[in-house]
Amino acid sequence: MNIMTSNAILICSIIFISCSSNGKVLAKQQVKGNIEKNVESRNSNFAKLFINDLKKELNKQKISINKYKPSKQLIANYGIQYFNGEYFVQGFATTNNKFNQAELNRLKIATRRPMGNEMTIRIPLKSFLQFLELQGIQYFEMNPIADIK
Amino acid sequence: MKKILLINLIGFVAFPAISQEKQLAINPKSIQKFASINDSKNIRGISPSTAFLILDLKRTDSFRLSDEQLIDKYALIKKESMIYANSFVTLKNHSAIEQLSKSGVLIGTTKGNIITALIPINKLELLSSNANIIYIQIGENVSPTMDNARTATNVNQVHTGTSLPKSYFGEGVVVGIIDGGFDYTHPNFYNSTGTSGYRVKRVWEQNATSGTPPTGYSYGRELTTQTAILAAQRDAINQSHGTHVAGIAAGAGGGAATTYTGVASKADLVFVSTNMSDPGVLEGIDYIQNYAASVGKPCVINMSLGKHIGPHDGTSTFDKICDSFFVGEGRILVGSAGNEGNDNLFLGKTFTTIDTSMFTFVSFPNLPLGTNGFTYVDVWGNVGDNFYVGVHVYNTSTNTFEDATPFLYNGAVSGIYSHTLYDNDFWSPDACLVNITTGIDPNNSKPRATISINHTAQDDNYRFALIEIKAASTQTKMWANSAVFTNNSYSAPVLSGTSNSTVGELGGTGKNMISVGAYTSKNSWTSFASSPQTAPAYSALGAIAPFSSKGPTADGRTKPDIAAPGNILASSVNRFDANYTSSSTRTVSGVTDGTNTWWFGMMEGTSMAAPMTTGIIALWLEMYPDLTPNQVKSIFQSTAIIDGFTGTIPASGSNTWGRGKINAWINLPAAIPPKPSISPISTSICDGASTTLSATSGYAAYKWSNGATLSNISVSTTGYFKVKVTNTAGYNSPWSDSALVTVNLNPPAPTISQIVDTLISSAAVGNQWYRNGTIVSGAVSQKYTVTTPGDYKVLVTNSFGCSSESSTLNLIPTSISKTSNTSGFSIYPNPSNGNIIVSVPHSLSNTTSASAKVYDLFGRTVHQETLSFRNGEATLQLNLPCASYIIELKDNEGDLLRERIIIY
Repeated sequence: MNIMTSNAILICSIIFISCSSNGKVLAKQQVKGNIEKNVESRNSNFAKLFINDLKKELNKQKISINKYKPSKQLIANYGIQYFNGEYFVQGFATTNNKFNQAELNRLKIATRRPMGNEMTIRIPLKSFLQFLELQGIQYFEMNPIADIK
Repeated sequence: MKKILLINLIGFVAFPAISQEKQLAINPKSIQKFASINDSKNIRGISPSTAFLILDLKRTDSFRLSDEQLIDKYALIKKESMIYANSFVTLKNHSAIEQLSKSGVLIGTTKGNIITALIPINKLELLSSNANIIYIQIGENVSPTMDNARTATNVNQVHTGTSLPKSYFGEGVVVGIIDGGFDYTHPNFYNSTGTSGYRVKRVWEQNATSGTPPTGYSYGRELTTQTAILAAQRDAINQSHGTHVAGIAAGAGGGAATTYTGVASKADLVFVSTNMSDPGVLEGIDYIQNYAASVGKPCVINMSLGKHIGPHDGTSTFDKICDSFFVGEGRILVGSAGNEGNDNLFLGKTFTTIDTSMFTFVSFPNLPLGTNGFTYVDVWGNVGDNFYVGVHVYNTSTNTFEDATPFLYNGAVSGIYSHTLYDNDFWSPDACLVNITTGIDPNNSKPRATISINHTAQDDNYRFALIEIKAASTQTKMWANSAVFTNNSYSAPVLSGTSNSTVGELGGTGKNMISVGAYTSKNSWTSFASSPQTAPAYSALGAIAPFSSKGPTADGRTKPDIAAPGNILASSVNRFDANYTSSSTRTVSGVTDGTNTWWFGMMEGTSMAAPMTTGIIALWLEMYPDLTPNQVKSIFQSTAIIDGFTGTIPASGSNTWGRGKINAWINLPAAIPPKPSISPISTSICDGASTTLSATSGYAAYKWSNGATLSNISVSTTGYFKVKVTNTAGYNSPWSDSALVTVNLNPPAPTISQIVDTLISSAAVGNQWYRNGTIVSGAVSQKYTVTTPGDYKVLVTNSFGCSSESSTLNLIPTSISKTSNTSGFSIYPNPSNGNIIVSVPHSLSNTTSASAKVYDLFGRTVHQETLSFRNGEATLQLNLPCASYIIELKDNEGDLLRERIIIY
């Protein structure tokens, strides 16, 4: 389905008619429009959520990331870890041919042995924004933490 | 493999029993197999233990037990050389008592139609077919550590070694637990004494904020010694989950007077107190498997973890890496299917060209208002398709949309939208924080929208977050991580979620992960404080636990793989967890040592079912260290318990039960090929040569220690070589004994020097001369004088029998020989180093002098002198280069001697 078709469907479905008479019927809704914007695509959805929330906190606290302490909510929502006086973000990364291990070393980013194209990666929070600028990272993935069952 | 397993089940006895007795759960398949081959149709009304005793008595093979072993195994009683089984006998009528007495049965007490009796064991089979006897149950050797879950899964039979080569407790196997809330000091983690034989070998606390990480990792604290582990006492997670899970999988009971021994009670334990992140869990797997490899043991890892953000189709990064790198022979991963079997957190929708829109309310039924929670929602589309997604705040009281995000298009673009929605509460508008991210997931190329909805500020129970999706001619599948989808009684296109496809990520969706659902093995208990309790998730004994998550996965695979007891189990709990005290309703037992008491308590969940399975797989790994995930699944298919609760399991499995209820009791050793042999077992070869090692023939595959895969291998290097064979069922044998191949050095290749017609080998010993490639008989000295033209070489053989040969030398002997020696003069030695003695013949003893001339082969005089004979001899000292010469002796009367000499 292409974008044109999608838009057509959206327009057609802005005002819909319930087809069932058994249950309640939703009210007519206001049109809010669409957003189709290009942003950095090399981060996973959850990583983008994290970046979004991180930037919000940084803006709110109006301090540099070097002095920043994440909120409890951010720590809980994104599994941020604290070790030896420093906060870390964990995820998976795939690299491309511009990858330079020395850059990771400079930022004190730890990686575990590659597993296929992937490797686990552990980024000091204060280096995180610089990490996002690295050209050698093809994809960065974060995920919500698991629950015990 | 299936065929072989079924045959092995011949050895598992399962007799139909009378219904009033609580019976062991036996796979009906095994009953059929046994009955068809052993003609046991006349045997009826006996307990499984009675049946096992009869079978053991009938054994004639190497597994036949001695009287003492039988007495010990079945708690028999020996009286005056007769061995009795202490039994309960259910009678059809009391006239049977007389028959029993006449058979030598010693009658005990009578209660209604049940009597206690000592039955001579050699009469058991006969009495079992007596029409007046309804049922015979010999007294079972009841372990003080028995509990429902082990009984239901037949773990006890594996522990006792019933119809198996021996007892199995997971010895020699590493059980890894990735969890949180460990009490390292619990007596459950020692051997069965509860005080010695501590079995926790390694701990990695990923959440530790300081300490020394394991080698190769950059975070957390590793504890590597018993002293360090016990000194640490516990991890930083102040609850009991990990302690409980580990106790189920591998607890040894904590000492006397506890009934809560786990499954693999002699296994080694490695704990990873995890940070719950995907990379953390993955690295925990890596860490445990590295340890297991370092001690040469197979390993099964339990992950009673899960979540619902992810593709649910086995293509998450975690699943892909696990499938590719962390499973295989002797490496098994076990996960919990999830506890969302009652939660409508999944919603799949097929859109058409006219059905292009759907809505669903996000509800938090576990919260007081039902509207005010926080959740992630993950929406996935089909590859190449796309959809729009938006979120509203909807007032179900006034039936109005109160706020909405724009629609995010999910296609070949990646976006993020962040907005705060507000309801229309005039006095106090409540915020609903919405983030929507979209993109194409690189693991599977599917379009995906991940939504976070923070509606915690909502204070009305009628203002809901409402998700809307628009698409055409495609499908979407969506999961809520901490909420459910409901239509709130609105009609279509407002849809409710379903509890199908609720098997979670991490523990449930991996293609090679063993995913475990839960069934009920206990639904009530009496607390330590003597208070009767009922399981919160009550269901009939044997029924599926109401919370047990269901399949299929998003790609249509059946999950879970198996069901195990998980509702509700007693196991060890964390001494530092305030939820478990002597008065807690969930506390059932305790072990006290000095001033400390460690508790056992109740927990339910697929978290508990997973370690039951983990422990059982550890028992199997002790039987067969090369077990693979696929073989585990095949065993499930062949041996799982099917009963009235599971119903008939479809050929593809059940999305509630998997293959049924797990059955630990399999005779895996019988499926394993015997240890192969290698011929020759020891051999020596010379450098540059090779030898062939042959393994026992007739197997489907071979695996040599040097990586070769044929039945015969050619070896040319020194070393030990061993082989495993694989039968057609896919089972590997144990390693063979090692065959030793020794490669001996060859002697240095000899060189030949030549002096006239004499060839001299560079080797002092071990020579054999050849002419034209043929051995010259007797020519074994260092020197060989050639008399016949030809191609000559010498072969040198050392003490190992290894040989080297020289290059070939073509030689035509010179024609120079003794020209004249009629006078009887002689010279010696010849060849010589230049010191020559000339001897006068006795007939010329009056000769006192002679002139000597020495010519080279060109006729040039190279030496001359007059010899004076004393006592018939004269000495000639020739300081000449090594070569052949002609010596000529003359006296006044003429020539005395002309002869060829060789100086070397």
